[in-house]
Amino acid sequence: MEVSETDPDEDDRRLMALVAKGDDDALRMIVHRHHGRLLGFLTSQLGAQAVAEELALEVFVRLHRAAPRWRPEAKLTTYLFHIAHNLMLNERRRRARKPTSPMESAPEPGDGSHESQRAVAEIQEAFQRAVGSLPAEQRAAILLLVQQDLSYEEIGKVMGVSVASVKTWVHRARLQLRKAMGEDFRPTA
Amino acid sequence: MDPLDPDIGSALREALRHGREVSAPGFTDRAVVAVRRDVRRRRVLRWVAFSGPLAAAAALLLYVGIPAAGRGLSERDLAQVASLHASVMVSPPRLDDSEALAALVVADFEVGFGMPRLEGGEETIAALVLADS
Repeated sequence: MEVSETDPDEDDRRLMALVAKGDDDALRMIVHRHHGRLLGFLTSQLGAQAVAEELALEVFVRLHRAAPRWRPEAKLTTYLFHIAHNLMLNERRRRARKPTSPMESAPEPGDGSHESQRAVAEIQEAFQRAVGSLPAEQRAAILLLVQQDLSYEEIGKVMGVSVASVKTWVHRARLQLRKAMGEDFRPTA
Repeated sequence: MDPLDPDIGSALREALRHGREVSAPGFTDRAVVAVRRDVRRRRVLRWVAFSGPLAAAAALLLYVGIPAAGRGLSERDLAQVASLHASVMVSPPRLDDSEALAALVVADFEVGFGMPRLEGGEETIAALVLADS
């Protein structure tokens, strides 16, 4: 199946139309194109990649069910993150577990032979811990904005809230992160 | 516009960059399998949802169509079936209690369908299972 690299969104629309007609190759292509980022988002949120993979599978099952009714009013990425976000909320409610450290997956450590590399790794780990300790809404908003490069409008659609709410959560997340990271990151202005 | 301060924003972006995409070998195949399984499951559910009421309606029509005198199940028979099931509910037999199970199965056949009493414990159950399969 040919997919152009010029307009991924247009490709997604075309593939979804084929999925709606029962085209397995198109489904396979969509999964292949999107599962990496979906897993990245879910793993960052949930901590355990195995759980993230289970939810990501369910995301694509739901996407397939909705394919005949899907209207390309928003990016497919936004729609996928929206399903993932809702499933994640359900999962959290279902398990009703105490908050874990969602960012357990630490970055791959360097070889440790250079001080600068070690320092960078430590800062990254500290950031991930700080993001992991944020409240769920703030964490989701900051991950979608910074990690997944979604716009405020897209994040609002994903989380089913207004843009103003997203901005509030991001602002609070910024304050919390600055507090958690101490004096290392003073505002420059 | 990046809502974070330039310093903290870039450091955060760098820290989270590693988790932007996570690779999972074989995930695509597993997703397609999960979707196909879901399609089959929903097909069965639709079939059951459609055929269940249809079968019930057909049975009702069949029952109503038979003259009252010739109907197989009298009120007394239905009461007997109900009482038998009630006694089983109060004291359910263990799965390995073949005598109790045989009694239940035989009693149901006898009351419901007027079949002769079968005896023989485990052999009876085996015969019934084989006949069903």
